[in-house]
Amino acid sequence: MRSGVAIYDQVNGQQEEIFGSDKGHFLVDLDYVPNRFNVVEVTPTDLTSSNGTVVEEVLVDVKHGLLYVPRVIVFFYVKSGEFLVGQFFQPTGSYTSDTYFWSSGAGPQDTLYHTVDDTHFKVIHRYVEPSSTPSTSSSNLRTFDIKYLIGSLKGPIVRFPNS
Amino acid sequence: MTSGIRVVQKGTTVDNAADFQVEFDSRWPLLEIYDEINVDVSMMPTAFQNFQVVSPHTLGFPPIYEWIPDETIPRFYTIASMSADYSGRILVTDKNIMATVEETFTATPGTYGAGPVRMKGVIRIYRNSPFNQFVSETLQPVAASAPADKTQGFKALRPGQRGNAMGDTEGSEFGVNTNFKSLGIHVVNHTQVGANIDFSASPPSSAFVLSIAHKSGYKPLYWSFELTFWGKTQNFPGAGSTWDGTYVDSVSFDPIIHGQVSLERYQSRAYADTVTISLDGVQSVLLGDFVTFIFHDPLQVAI
Repeated sequence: MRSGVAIYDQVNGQQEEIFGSDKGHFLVDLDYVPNRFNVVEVTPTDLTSSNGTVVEEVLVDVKHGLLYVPRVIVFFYVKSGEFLVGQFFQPTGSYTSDTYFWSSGAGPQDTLYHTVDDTHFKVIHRYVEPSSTPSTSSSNLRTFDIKYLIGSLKGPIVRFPNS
Repeated sequence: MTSGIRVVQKGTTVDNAADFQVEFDSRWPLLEIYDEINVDVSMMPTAFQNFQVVSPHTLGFPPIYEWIPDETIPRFYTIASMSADYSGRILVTDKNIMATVEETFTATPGTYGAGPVRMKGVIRIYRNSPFNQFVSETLQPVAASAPADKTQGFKALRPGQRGNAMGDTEGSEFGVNTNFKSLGIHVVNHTQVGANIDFSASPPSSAFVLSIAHKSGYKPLYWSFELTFWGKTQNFPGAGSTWDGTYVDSVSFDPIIHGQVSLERYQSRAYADTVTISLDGVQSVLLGDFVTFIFHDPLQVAI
């Protein structure tokens, strides 16, 4: 026996349930401190790397306060600093979710990515120069708005892609 | 609004409330969880492939889903590793959901690793169809926001939560809570890209794959997927299988924008303004079926 609120509507000529309060939905608490929903402006720094050394800096660190690993949605917006790396053009105003690569392949890898576990949500800037010649990220020339939502649903532990 | 339920902030009239003043509106569908299925599929690398029918469903369409890998087992043995030699896959039809692990067709069986290869985690199935085009009714965005009044609204706990305080702020106990915000669906767009499109131009400013209209009035949140169809003619799940025999084309969803797989595979990205989302990529050829969900931003923040 179900309990709660259910809403039905005519969909394609048939009566269909369109909402059930006994089902899970992605909800966000807007009042919790520290914020589970926020927009953070960040300017990554000019990290230097060589010989495949992974150099990272934490840009956002939120102790989410949930008793489980939450489902997180993250968007990266290029707020200023248009740039062209190879064929991957990133104009101001473009945005993507989860992970932001702006160089990859054989050359240096410059990435914004996020992690989440049962205590923290983090956004991390990662720079790796695979060759023996040191190089420096030009990330300090760009400003990002990072929008994140730490939801009520349980989600996967997230680490650097394929790590 | 002629039917359904709408909850707005105190002091606001139901018919004239702007988006940010609406706490709940049944005209805006939500990503509603239909089921969550525990999966534990494994195979020895001496076998070419293995598969397992996980669960039947009664939705009548192939639903969208998320994969939540179990991190308690070595990462290499989960689908999350997506190694070149082994891969995990989830297929859905209008009747069933199947999880499988397999060796790639070019791999020599038994060559890679000591095994067994294992795919363990949870498939979260949403009661949402990727094939029904949908645009919610006209929105009423405004430039400024105002604090919500938390003294009104409604809450409902999910089953098994009896005894929990309604003032609990965790969130996972609630099926609905108008003091929280939820991801209402504004647009569901399914588009077949039927021709090869050259993205090699740099910058690929004229190489948009899809331009999807929305009425958010701001750059919205979205999920975008590529659909891969597996029909009878595909060499999958393989001869001699016992997959339920109905064999309506099954579908798997590769998140092309929402997730790292996409970025490595297609180098895709989105451009957006207040009226469209445009998806493009830098791979020389990209065609197929694409599904995009555009959501109402919980705070309607324009960036």
